[in-house]
Amino acid sequence: MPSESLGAEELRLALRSIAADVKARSEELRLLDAACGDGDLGITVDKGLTAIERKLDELEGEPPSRLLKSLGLTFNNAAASTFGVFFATAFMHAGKCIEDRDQITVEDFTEMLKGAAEGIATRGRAKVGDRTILDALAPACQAAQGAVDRGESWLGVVSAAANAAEQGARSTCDLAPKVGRARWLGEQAKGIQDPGATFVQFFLKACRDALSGTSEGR
Amino acid sequence: MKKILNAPEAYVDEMIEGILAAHPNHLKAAAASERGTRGLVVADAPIEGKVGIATGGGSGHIPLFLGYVGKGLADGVAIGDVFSSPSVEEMLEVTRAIDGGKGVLYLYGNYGGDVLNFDMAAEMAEAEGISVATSLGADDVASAPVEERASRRGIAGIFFAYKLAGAKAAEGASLEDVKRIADAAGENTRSMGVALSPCTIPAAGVPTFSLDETEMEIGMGIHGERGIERGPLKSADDIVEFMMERVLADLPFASGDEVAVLVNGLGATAPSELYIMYRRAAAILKERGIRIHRSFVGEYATSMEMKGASISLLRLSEELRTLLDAPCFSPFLLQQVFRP
Repeated sequence: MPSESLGAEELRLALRSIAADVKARSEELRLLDAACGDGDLGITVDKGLTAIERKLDELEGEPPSRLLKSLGLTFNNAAASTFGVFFATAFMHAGKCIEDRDQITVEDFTEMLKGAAEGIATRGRAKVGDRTILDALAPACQAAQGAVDRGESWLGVVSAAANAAEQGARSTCDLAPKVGRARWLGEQAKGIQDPGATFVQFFLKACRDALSGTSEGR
Repeated sequence: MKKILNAPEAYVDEMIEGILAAHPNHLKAAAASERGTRGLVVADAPIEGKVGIATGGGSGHIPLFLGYVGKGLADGVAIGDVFSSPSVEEMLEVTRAIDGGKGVLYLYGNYGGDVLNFDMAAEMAEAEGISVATSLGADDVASAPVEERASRRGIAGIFFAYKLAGAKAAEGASLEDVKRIADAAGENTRSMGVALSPCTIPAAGVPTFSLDETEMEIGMGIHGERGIERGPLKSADDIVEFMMERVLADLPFASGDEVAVLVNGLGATAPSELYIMYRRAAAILKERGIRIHRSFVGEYATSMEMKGASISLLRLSEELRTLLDAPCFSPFLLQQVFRP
């Protein structure tokens, strides 16, 4: 059965390692975005995650829900781009799923992923197949739920989500953008992996690495 | 890049410091922020019993947006980096600082990043118990066909919405009524621009696009977005006729209408040239039997040092005319009570 739960301090430390891991890959995101967007995603991610790393030090002792909500706004405040709003939306909605909770279970984690996906879909008026963040996040939600239903451990659930996100992000190479600035590119965007979906792939991989202790950021 | 500045990364913060230093009796910071003050509100905010009007957007367009914070205008502004949206937190700070108990209207230009940030701020403000309504400036007829009017960009014509909604709020009207007026201003305003040269974002150091010495682009947006016709520079009369034809047909404005006219400079076009444009625009309106009630000629929405101009027309009803004629004051704009 899903094992022990995560406390606020464990979550805070995990987020620090996740932020460092993803930040180390911001140049990859910049290159993808330069090929099919306006090229600022790498800079946005770098600015936002740097602000988060700084903020994490101040947030020692905060309950998990407050921690996530506060980090969402911190990212947006450092980089108020379109992506900055989606990041904040995801963290705010994830935070809402664990209101008043001291410990997070793996079921909570799955609900947080779903909450983040729903929040982004609503705010961005996008759906799966539009070549967005959701093309990685939605399959990750499904895979996580499946793993929870099978009674897998924290690591099993997060790994399932990370693998599904990676596959989902890869699948965006075959999609033409339907929303956002990249839609002007139409078919020309094909062959390039969507930078937003790629961020989700990197983020969930970093979550898995943080849990398994193999993170480079640790 | 040839600009008077200290450091590109300090461009916005130092501009704000200068504005606060120059107008301490009229403007104040909404709240202290980590990265410096990015929210300005009227010095006597919040005003009890008055709907607050918040605006915001990227820097580089002065007097848009912060120049319209004053009496009979907007109450606060969230200021982003050059051509980038301000953040949710900055918008929230402004919202809290101007809420006088009757709610807050978000009035800003229709750009993706701004809409996403303002929508999220609205949600959070509502959660704090502040009622928020939204009205968007989407007056640029060159940016999308009339069937897709809701997706159009906002340019200089949003000035009319500040003026009218600001006057309505000053009367003590409800949030619903102030929004109705802002929406009416939007529905009755049409604009089009022409660009003769690009501008340079300080942090980028190179121009955002290029236009040859002899070229112009009609319909180009205030951030260099693609327009509808690029070609050799024409005469002032030819340019104005091209723009007016499309602006007039879009609403459409008809004989017997009464309008306000705004001829706006984009930052590096001389006022004299704006009047040469106005001359032809006024003649065209006269030919069409459209009466001009009030005119505004000067810089109302710039794009840093871009060369070019825009023309905006607002169709007036009796209600809108009264609101347009009401007095207003900001450090950037003064209108006293007298017949134009």
